[in-house]
Amino acid sequence: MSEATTHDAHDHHDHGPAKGLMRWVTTTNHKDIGTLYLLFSLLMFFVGGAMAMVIRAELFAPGMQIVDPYFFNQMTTNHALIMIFGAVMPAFVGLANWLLPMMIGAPDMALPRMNNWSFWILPFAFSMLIGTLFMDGGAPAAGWTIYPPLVLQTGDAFPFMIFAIHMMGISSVMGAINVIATILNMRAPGMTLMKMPLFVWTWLITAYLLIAVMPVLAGAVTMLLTDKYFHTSFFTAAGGGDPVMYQHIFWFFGHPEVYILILPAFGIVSQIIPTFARKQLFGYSSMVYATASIAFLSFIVWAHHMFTVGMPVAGELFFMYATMLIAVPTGVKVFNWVSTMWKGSMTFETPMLFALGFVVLFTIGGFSGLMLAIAPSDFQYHDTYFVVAHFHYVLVTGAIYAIMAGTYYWLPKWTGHMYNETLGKWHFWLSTITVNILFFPQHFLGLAGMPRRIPDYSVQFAEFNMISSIGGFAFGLSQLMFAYIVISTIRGGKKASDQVWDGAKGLEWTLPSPPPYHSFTEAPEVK
Amino acid sequence: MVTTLPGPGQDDYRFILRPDRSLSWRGNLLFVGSVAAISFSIGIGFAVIGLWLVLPFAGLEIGLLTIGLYLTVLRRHQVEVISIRHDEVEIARGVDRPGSQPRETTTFPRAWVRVAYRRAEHPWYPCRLVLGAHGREIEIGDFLHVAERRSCATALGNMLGWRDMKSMPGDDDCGHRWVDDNN
Amino acid sequence: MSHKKSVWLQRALLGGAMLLGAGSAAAEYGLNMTPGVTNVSGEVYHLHMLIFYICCAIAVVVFGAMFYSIWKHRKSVGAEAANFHESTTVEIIWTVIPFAILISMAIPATKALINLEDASDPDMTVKITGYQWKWHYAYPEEQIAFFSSLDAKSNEARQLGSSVDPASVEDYLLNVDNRLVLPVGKKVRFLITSNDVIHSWWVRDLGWKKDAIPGFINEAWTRVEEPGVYRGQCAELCGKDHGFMPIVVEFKAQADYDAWVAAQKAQAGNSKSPVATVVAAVN
Repeated sequence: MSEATTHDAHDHHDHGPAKGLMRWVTTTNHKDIGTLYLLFSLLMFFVGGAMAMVIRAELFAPGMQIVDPYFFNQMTTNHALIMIFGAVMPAFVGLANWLLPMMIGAPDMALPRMNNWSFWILPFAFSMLIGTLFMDGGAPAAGWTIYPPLVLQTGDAFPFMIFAIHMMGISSVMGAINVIATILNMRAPGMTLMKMPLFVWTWLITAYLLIAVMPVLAGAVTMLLTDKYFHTSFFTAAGGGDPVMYQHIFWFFGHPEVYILILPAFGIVSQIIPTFARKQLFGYSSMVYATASIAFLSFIVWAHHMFTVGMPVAGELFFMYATMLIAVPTGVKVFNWVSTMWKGSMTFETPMLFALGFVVLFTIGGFSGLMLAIAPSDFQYHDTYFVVAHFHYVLVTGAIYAIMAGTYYWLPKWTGHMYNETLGKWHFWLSTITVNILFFPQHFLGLAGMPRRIPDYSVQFAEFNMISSIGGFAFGLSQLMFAYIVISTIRGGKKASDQVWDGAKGLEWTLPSPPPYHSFTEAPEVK
Repeated sequence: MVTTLPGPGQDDYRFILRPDRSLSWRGNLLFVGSVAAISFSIGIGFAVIGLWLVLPFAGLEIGLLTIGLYLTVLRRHQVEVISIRHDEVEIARGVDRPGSQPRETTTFPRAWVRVAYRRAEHPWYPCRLVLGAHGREIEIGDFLHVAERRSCATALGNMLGWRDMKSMPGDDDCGHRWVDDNN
Repeated sequence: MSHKKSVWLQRALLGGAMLLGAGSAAAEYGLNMTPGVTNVSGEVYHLHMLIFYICCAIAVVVFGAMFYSIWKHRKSVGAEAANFHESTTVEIIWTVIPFAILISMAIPATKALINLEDASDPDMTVKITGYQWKWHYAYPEEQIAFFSSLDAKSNEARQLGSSVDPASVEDYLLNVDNRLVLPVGKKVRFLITSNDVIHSWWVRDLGWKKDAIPGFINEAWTRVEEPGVYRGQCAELCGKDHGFMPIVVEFKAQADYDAWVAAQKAQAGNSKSPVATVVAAVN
C-alpha cells in the first residue's frame, strides 16, 4: 500500500466511503454534505411551517380558539428561529457546498472535515431548540430577537436556547470559514475574482459578514446567560445595565444577518436570469460592487430596527439616511436583472418563473422596506403587521423563492434527472397566488393598526386575518408539492443532459449530470 | 499542475507537481489581517461600552479562521518534485516556499522503478498514480485533476516503464458519479 | 357552537368577496393609515402617502419594463438574444436618479421627525408606566394616578374556550376599565417608562409609538384639538398577555377635563378607593 499518505484530508482513499447511514455521518464530500444541508433545510422548512400553520389557525378569527397566548408566543418565536437558522441559512450553505467547488473548478471544499462537523452540529442544535417545547415553562417565547428583560423570564428552556444558538453560530462560522478558504485558494487557473460567477461572489461576501457578526451574537446571548445566572447586569436596569444596549448589540448582528439571508439569493437569481434570457448578465461588475456596498451599509443601519426606543434625533436621522441609501445598490441590482431580460430570448421554465417571482415580489418587499426606513412613518409602522408583511415578502418571496428557483435549476445537475416541469409550474403558480393572499393583506392590517405578535385581535381586523390565514393554509399545502417534486426527482425521472438548460453558462454545466463524486476529472478550462 | 523540466544531466528530468492555488501566502495573510482588524475593532468597540464578552468570541473565531486558512494554504502549497537522474529517481515532497527544504524524500534505483496508474479502492475516487520498486510504493500527485494525473502517468510510464499495467484505465473507471444511477 | 360556526362561515364568505372587490371595502375595513387627529399624525400620514406614491411610480416603470420585456422578448415569439451586457452611462443614470429621489424623500422626513421629537414647552405632563399587562397613568401636577387594564367583557371573551363571541363585545380588546383622560388644545408631554419588561405605548391616531423601557424615561408629546376617544395597544412583545393591554385615551374639552380631575381627586380623598392606594404607592 502507499507508503506515505501525507494528505490527511484524503486518507479515506484507502478504505472507500462507509456504507449506508455511516456514509452520511462520516462523509467529508461536498456533494454529500450539500445534500445533507439541503434535506435538513427542507425538513426544518416544514417544521417551521407547521408552527406558522398554528399561528395562522389561531389568528383565523377573533377570540382564542386553539392555543393559549403563551403557547402562541412560543410558536412565533420558534417559527422565526427555525426558519432563519434552520431553513434559510442551511439551504444557502447546502447550495454553497454543492456549487462553489463546481463553479470555481475545485474538486471539493477546502476543509472537508470541518465541513462535516459544521453540518452535524445542526441536528443537535435544533433537536435541543425544539426539545424546549416540552420543558417546564415551555419553549422560549420572547420573540426571535430575545430582548431582555422579557427573555430573562423564560423558564427551564433558557440555557438550552442559548446553547442551541451558540451551536448554530459555530456551525455558521465553520461554514463561512470553509467558503472563504475554498473561494480564496481553490479557484482553477484563470478563474480570477472578477470572473467568478455571482453566486460565488455573493457567498464570499456573505461569509465575510458571517465572520464579522457571529461573535457579536455569541457575545450578546452569552451576556444574557450571565445576566440570568451569574448576577452580571449587562442588560438589567436594576443592576445599572442597559436593556436598550442589548437591542443595539442584537441588531448590530441582526441587520448584517438579514443580508446574510438575502445576498446568496441575489447570487442565485443572477445565475438563473441570464440562462433563461439567453443573454449575459447585465452589469456584472456593478453587481459585485452593489453587493459589496450593501454589505458595507449593513453595518451602519442597525438602529432602524429600534427607532422607537427613544434615540437622540441626530441618531435617528443618521440611521434613517443610511438605511435609505441601501435602496441605491439594491435598485442597481433590480435594474440589472431587468436589463438582462431586455432584448433577451426568454423562456419560462420553473427556475425562471421563481426567479421572476423573486424580482417582482422582493422588490415589493423593498418598497415597504424603503417606507419603513423613513423614521417618522416608522413610528406608525414599527411592530405592526406592516413589518410582518415586509419581512415575509423579502424572506419568503425573496430568500425562499430564490432557494426554490436554485433547487429547480440545479436539481437536474445534482440528480441526473429532470423534474416534472408541469408540476413545477403548478407549484410556482399555486405558491405565488397563495403567498400574496397570505402576506399582502398583512400590509393593510398593519396600517390599520394591528400590532404584530398578538394572539388575538379586535374584530375590525377579522376579515383580513381570515383571508391571510386561508392564503397561509393554501401556501403551506402548496409546499408539499415541492417536497414531492424534489423527492420524486431524486428517485428517478427523465435523464438530464450535462448542459441541462440550453442557455446555461459556467463550469458546473461542463460536468456530467450527475457529477462525479469528486468534481473535475478534467482540469476545468475558464474562458 | 505538472511542469516538466529537462536537466541538469543529459538524461535527467524533473517533474514538478503542484495543486491549483489561487491565492498566495501573502494574500491570505492580508485577508486574515483585514478580517481580524474589523472583527477586533467591533469587539473592542463593544468592550469599551462595557459589553466585553464579544471580544473573546471574536478572538476564538479569528483563531479558527487563521487555522483554517493556514491548513488550506499549506495543502495548496504542497509540491512534489520527481527528479529522474542517471541512476536514481528521487521523490521529494515539501512545501512550495522560498528556502524551504523537502519534508520527505524517497529514492528508488532508476533501473527498478515502475509506474502504475490504477483504479482507486472505491469507484467513487479518481484513479491513482503510483511509483514503486522493490515492493515499496508511493502515491504521487493525489491533488492533481484526473486529466493531469493521466498525462503525468503517461509521461512517467513511457520514461520509466510500467508496472502491472494491461491498459490505461478510462475516465469512466476514475471517479464514479455522485449518485448511483439505476435507470 | 353552531352559532360560532355560522359566524365563521359568514366571515369566510365575506373574506372571499373582499378578495374580488377589495377596493370598495377599503373605507369600511381600514386598508390604510389614517391622517389621525394631530398635526404630527397628519404629517406622518402625508409622508407615508408621498413615499407610497413614489414607490408606486417606480414600480410602474420597473415592472412595466420587465413585463414588456417578458411579453416582447420571449423565445416563443422568435426573439433573438441581443449581445449587450454593460453600459456605464445607463448604470450611472440609474444610480444618480434613485439618489435624487431619496433626497426628495429625506427632506420632508427630516422635517417631520424633528417636529415629532420636539417635546419642549409642554402645558402638562403625564407619566406612563408599562406593567405586565396593564398601563399605569400618573398626573404629577394633579396628584392623580391609576391603572388601566383590559375591560372585563373583553377579558371574558378572550379566554381560551370562552362562550362569549368577540363580535358581541363592544370594542373587543380595545377597551379599558380606566381611560386616560386629557384636555384638548394642550401640548401634553408623556414620560414613558416601564416597571418590568419593555412595552410600547401606541395610539395610532396620535401618530407615533414610543417604547416603555425599565430604567429609562422616554419623552413624547401630543396636542389634540377635537374631543374624542382614541384607542391603541401595546406594540412591543411583553409576554403572555401582550395582546391584551389596550390603551384608550379620551380627549375632553377643558371644562369637562377639569370636572374629571376634580372627580378623581375627590375619589382619591376617599382612602378606600383603589385609585388612592395606587397614588400612595406611586408617590
